[in-house]
Amino acid sequence: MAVNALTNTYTPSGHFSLAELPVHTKARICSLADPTGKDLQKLLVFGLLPGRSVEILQRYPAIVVQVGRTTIALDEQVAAKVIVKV
Amino acid sequence: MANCHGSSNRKQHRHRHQGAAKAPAQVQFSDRHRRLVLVGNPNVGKSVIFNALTGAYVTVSNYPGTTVEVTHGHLSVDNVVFDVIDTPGMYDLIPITEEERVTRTLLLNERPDVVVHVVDAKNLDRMLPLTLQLIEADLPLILAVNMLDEAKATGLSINLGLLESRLGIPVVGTISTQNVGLDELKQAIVQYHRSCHCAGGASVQHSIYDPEITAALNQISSLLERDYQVSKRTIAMLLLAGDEEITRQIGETEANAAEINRLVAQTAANYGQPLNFILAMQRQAAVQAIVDEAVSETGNGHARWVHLLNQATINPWTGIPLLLLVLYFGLYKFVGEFGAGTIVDLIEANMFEERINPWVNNFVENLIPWPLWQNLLVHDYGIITLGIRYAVAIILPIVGTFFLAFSIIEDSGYLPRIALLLDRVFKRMGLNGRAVIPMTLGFGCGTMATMVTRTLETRRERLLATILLALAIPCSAQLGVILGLLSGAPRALALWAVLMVGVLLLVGFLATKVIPGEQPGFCLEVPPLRLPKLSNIVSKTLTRMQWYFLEVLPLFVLASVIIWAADLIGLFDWLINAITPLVQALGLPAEVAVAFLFGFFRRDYGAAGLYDLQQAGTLTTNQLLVAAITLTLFVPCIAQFAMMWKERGWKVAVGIIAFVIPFAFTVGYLLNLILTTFGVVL
Repeated sequence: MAVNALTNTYTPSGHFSLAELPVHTKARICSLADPTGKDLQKLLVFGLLPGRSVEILQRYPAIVVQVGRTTIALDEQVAAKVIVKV
Repeated sequence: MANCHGSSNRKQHRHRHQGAAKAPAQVQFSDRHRRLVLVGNPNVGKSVIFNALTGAYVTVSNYPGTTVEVTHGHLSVDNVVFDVIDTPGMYDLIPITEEERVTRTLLLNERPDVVVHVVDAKNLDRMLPLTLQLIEADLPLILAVNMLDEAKATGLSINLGLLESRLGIPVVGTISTQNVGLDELKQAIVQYHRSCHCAGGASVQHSIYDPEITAALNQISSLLERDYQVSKRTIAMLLLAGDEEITRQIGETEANAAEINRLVAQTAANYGQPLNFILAMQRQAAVQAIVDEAVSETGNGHARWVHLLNQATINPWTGIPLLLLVLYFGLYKFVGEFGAGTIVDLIEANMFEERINPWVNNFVENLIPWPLWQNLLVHDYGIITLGIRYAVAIILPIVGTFFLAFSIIEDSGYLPRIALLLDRVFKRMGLNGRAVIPMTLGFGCGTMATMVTRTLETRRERLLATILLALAIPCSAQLGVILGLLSGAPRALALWAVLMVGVLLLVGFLATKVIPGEQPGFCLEVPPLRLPKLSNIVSKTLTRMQWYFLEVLPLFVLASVIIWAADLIGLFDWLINAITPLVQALGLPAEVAVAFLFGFFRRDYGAAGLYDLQQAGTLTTNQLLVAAITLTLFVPCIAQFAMMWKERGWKVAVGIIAFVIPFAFTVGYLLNLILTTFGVVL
């Protein structure tokens, strides 16, 4: 178990938050940490849902990910709520 | 009508409509037309479809009780006239922003006769959950699968017939930018109304959720006693999802509210995660099953250079230089030099000064023998020679070129890229990348931009953006005139730009410390870059110019009349005398006081006044810079002030003014002090 500094939640080992992955990593979304409030609603409408595959395209100045045929830009605060398995 | 839309709401609706048709004398104009509402995500080509359906004559108005823009137009097919409403983009029936809330209110309350949901063919898996929600709501729905060309280019093939049978609603494939499929869409719209499309949608909506949720939806629906414009099932779904607005409404109006709340809590307790998440996951699963059947991948074929260009715009190493290029050519060259320079010279100098003004002066002098009344219309502060001249010759070309540039940037999909590049900068000011839209628009018209702060999520962000727009973002008219003023002195211009950015960052930074509140996360779709469609650009620009012109011209006329009246009773001189010491403290000649006073009527009005002074050669470059800085920071124009009042309330509006005026003069004073002390001559 590792403590995720940004969300203050425990992540099962082998799992990372989207904010921790290096560029060009491909991963599968396992769960959404702290799934309440408006940040969750944003993840839902942009299709960042458990089961979907994501690829990190860029990390700076904002994290850019590819989900299906959609490109999403997000900051570390939101990305930290997406728990993935590489 | 036996096997048509099953809901009692829809039947009631049609009945009401027929009733209205029989007694036209008793209904209002807009009730005689059928209502067509366009909905969909941002970036799906909705506005292009709207323009193609309605043609040139559209009006932009605020949705009642809000300041969110809704565009109206008319569509006439086979002698049936529709009132077409284009709504702000929405992602889900549960709104995140104020604009989405308006779209939902419109759908829930306006009794549309046809709703067209426009979706991006490339991303059906992400778009169709909203379609399911709209089907669930028993809205008279048509699905327009747009951008079929882009889907094909990325290697997707879509079976529209299968989609139609699975969803049970009419599905039309379109490529709006090439006018493909729009006639079919019109036919689908008019036939929907005539034949009362039979909603096989009923079958799909009963297989979206698992048995427990379905049971809860049914129970809650049966407890709802009032009539709703949409299905009770949708109200039940929104209650389960924990929608605040609907939950409050039900709490206030439904007799069984306590029992309903108990059911919601009980269902929520049975799932480990929030119900809106569970509902979204189940809708997504239902959509995935449909998409897997209807969409097949035949390869992934985006051209290499398109991919590279997309990358180049978001990578900071190439993206920032590209952004600077866009700003340089779009804002400085096109708006600053071409709009504020070439076109203004042409209209202002060649038309007004040489032809119109002398002729009008002469004509009015001959017509009206009293100088007092002559001055109302012509001469130095006359309605025609000052008000209309400023509005038409100086301001209109500048905002016109700005809106044209903005529409191109907007339609090419470039705005979200600016948002992601600048997200970190905006964060320093308590905002996030999303604020790029109102802030960029602020360079066009601060009044419009203040209105558009509605797209921001939190009250705090809206407040911060309003302050920054009022203080440090010069509108295009102001910008154009200032660029014109300082273009001869590049060092002064650079200093002006550096100071404005500095003030923006400093005040933004300080404001975030003073105003408490949470910082919402940044998450934005980055659409592919597209070649904008010319007719859409033109129509958007004209609509915005029309809005601006209708808003600005009366104010210029009013300003002229007030100045005339104030001049007459001596108030004007008194005010000028009152602010003259202030102006002189900044090291400026007394004449600048006049320009500052005008500045309250419109910021650009004041800047244009400075322009006159510079033309006469009364100001040194140092003075010009001090005046330009003070005037840029100075109060927003009267229209922006009114909009601030309307949007944020009078306390906030007055508070902002009380901060901005002393701040502007202090900065101007300090700048002059530093320049004089160090003997800097620009």
